[in-house]
Amino acid sequence: MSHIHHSRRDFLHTLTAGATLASLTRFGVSPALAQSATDYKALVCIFLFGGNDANNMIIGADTAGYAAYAAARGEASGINIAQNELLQFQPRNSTRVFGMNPSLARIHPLFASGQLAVLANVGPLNRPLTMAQYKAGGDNPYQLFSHSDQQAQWQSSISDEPSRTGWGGRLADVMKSMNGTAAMPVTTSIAGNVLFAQGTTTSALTLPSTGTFGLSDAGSSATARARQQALSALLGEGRDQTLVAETADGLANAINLSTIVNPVISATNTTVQSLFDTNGNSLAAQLQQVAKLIAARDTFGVKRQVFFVSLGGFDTHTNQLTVQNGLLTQVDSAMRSFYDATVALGVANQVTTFTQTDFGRTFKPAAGGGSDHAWGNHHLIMGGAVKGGAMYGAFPDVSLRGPDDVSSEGRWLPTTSVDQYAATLASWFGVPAAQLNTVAPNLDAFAVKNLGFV
Amino acid sequence: MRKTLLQRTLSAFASVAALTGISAHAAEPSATIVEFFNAPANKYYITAIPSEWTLLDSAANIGWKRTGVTFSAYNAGQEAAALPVCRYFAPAVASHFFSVNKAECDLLATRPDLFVNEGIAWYAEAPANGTCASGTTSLFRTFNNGNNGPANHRYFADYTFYQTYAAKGYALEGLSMCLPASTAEKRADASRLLFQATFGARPADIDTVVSRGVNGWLDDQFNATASRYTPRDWMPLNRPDTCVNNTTPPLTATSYCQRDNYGMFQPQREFFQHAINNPDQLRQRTAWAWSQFFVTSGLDVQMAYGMIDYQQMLRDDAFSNFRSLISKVTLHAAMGRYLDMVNNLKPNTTTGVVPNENYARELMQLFSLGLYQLNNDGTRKLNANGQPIDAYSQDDVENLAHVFTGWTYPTVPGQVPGTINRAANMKGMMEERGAQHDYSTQTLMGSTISGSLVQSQRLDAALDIIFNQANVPPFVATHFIKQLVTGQPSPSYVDRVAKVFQDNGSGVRGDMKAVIRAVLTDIEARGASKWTPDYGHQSEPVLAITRLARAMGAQSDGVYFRNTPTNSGQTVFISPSVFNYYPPDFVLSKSGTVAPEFAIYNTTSAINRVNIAYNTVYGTINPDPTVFGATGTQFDLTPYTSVAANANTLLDKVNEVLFAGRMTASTRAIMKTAVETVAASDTTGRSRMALYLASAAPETQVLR
Repeated sequence: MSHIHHSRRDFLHTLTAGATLASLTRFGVSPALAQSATDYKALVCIFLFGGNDANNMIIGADTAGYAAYAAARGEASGINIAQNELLQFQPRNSTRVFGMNPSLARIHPLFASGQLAVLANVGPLNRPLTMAQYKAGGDNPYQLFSHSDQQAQWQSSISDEPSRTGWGGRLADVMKSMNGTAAMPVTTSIAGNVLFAQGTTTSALTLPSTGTFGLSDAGSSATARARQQALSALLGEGRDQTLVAETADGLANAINLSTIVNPVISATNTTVQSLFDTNGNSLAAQLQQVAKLIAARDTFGVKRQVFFVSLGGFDTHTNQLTVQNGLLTQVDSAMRSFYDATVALGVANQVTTFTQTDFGRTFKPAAGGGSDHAWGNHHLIMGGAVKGGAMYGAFPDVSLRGPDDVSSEGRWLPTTSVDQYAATLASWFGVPAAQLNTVAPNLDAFAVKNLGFV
Repeated sequence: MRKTLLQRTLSAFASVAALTGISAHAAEPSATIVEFFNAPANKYYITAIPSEWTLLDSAANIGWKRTGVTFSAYNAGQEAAALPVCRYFAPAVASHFFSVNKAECDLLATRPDLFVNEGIAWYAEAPANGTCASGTTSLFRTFNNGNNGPANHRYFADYTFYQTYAAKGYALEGLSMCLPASTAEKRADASRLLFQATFGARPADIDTVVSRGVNGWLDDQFNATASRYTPRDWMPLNRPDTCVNNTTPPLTATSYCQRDNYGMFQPQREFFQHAINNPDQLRQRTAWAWSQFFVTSGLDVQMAYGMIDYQQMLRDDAFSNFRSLISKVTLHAAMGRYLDMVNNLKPNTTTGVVPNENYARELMQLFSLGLYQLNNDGTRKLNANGQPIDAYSQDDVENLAHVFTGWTYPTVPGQVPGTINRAANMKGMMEERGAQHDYSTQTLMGSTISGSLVQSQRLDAALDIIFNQANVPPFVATHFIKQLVTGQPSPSYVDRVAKVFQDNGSGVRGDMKAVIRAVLTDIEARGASKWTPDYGHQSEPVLAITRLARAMGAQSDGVYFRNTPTNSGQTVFISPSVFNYYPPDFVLSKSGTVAPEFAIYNTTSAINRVNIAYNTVYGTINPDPTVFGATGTQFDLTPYTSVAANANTLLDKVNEVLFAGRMTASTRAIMKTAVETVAASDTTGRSRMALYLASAAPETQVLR
């Protein structure tokens, strides 16, 4: 154990801490990638901030499965979802029947039609972990159950030490050359700054979900021009101060990109916008913006794009039924609209959408009709290229203190790692096998490199 | 002799000149000491003689260069308390020595074979009891005796920087003398103090700080009356159908019932109104820093009356004791709702429901300890394997969650107290319900909370255990240093402030008045550290706009500014989570610099910050017709327009207020060109040009 662990840690230091340009050449992009860039692909990460309780999103629906569910989450628990409300689905690779949260009515049919898959009990891991190994400690992800740390581990696919880059950003580092000389960054976040989108050599464009993106001072009088020139010149001043230079670089980059992007997001795209109901649904507004950007892929001259959108409020310590149902209703509407938009744009097979969240939640209910921070969790993957209608990973035994519970409160030990999840998506995106380690540095610790869901 | 020494200066990398006659001037220190460095010889030299500056400036070909460091000093006869500083040259090692200590000077005079007396260098004050008087600059001396480079003294105003010379093989010789600050230096430092301790400098504030001195101004601010949010009455969480936004005239105080009660409109408006208009600046700024430490969010609190009550509490207790703050924060019903301590019931074996861990976890992770055990200087303690050590365990979280059971909403006025109050009331403190408290004995970080105590005693016992953890002083010190001064303080700065947290000098732990004073008066806040490349922090979006508004002499009802930082990632009182708008440990990927505010700096916010400045400077902010009593925002640009006919004088004023006196010559040239495209007679147009560019310039977006 310690041998593998240390060699991997050394590797990570090379990658994240001592990331000089020289050392990065070993992760550089092979010329072959750039030459094969004839297609278009996009990955869309939907991050559910707060820790979505997928124990109430994917539920055993057959007699034995529901009985296991109700053993801890019966009606008295305050967070019970009735068996007859579940939206049933039968994974083609399982004999078991499951049910989705009733809020997911619009995307539920995509499972049966094959554009939606479920990945069960996935979470941050440094290596495959048995219960005994977990209890012995020594190689567990750092700060399990802490929001900020677990978000970072999901977004970086690195869970043995903090990382300054995210796996979406490193994916962009690898694939950037496919976009040739395009000024448009590979990654775009409609949800502010996120670790996920930060690469070693690439950074994300961040955009608002609505409105314009450009300088207000757009006049053309002599005075206005002098003002604009002065601002431009001021961006070159004080650069011996680190934070001044970073501030200036950020502003210069934003001004440059705004000239390319603003015309696209300011214009109405009826094909896209007719499919979304953004009223009171910020996730729908974000995904609508993503769809508008995908529609303009040729304008931007890009072949590979990674998007990040998010919805918050999933930290349901109390009042979970009402809160989560409201949030999942938004997720459901936004995801289905987005899928329909990719169909309308003719890119349904080229866009893959997937969920992430801080962590799963305790299966045992907490006071106030909620649940607490846990670990392994279930996720959704959607798109025309997805091998849908199936459940990937292993659904946990949901008994408290059972074989998958690391505590007494129903915290599942993941049986699939974030690294495998990320690497599978990266493979589809076009990352060569030899460079998957750049995206998921820990991947070698796991025998299965591709989970096969896309 | 003078000629030969000057020649030696140029040839042997030493430098000497006899002092020329100096005539007396006013009390303003009229001497400037300039530091030079000769890289080939690896020697520093300081001199207050202008002819030597000229000489060394002309000797760049043999390596002489100004370091950028200057100090002020007195000339003869300027200040009665000032003493002569002797200057000796040691030919054997070609190095100079300066001292304000007469005994030291007299000793050197006994060995003319080794030391050449070059007369009086300048006048300074001597340290008393090992320290310099307030308002003077402490000058520290190091000496490299030749072990690690040529024999040479270097002098420092920056204590931290001074200490780093120990690692270079220099002897740290301690406090050498006390130098006066020039008026320009005092005004620049006042301007810096104002962006560290307030929501921005009004032009006249600089005069106030200079006349009161740093500590006198802090005393005034500690004593200033707290601004008050307008209290609002309890309203049911489910909005009654009668509470709507009534757009039919006439407008009254209750017309916009829905907007004003269900959401953060009024708390945000008053936040900006007070931040821009009111004199209790340090209290408000400290309360704002607390609100980013003890985070609640309108996302869950929802109700204006509750958020106002909570934020007013942080204002009123901004300078109180940390122990009393964590009690009040823990029991406030808005926090109770936000982190689910309210109606957190003892374990129920029938339903299998266990106590809610949310508040227990975040109290330790975010409100007091942090994740890892810390040394007093804020660095992490490491175990034998070099790994950080958790500050608390999952068991501690679960045990504390049990101690935190049995608290319910305050009883709504006029209603009967229930077994559990289900009606959400976020005003005031939660009430005890002993029947719902779990009295089992619990352990917390190795201490025991006895089952024989009553409910409130058990809560106090838990908070006492937390308050006395060694992590608390460096954790709280670091938060305030980062909020007010710099994103990456030196460990010694944290250590000094943390020690004041441990003991305010009168044996009291957690005295926040003493802690805030320590943060703001520390040599790393006031001294020459400001010149180091990664010093300071980016102004957070709220501060960026209040700084500009106050620089423009705004009087505002807060309506317009309420929403301005939203697209920059900082919607006041609506933090996206308990982790605040940005994390304290965000690291820039390029440089590795800790820069918390950059966590919300991106292409959207970068442009938005500049656009808000543009709209504020060039727009007109009329009263909002939907807001009862609205007055809009008025600016007073007189300090600028009165001098704007002369572009240089205008830029002097802008330099003082927004650049803290640090506008470079090239920045001035850029701004001057732009200002002069506006007719000299259009003093408003010129002032706006200067203020917009000053606010948009990256050099002022970073507070250093």
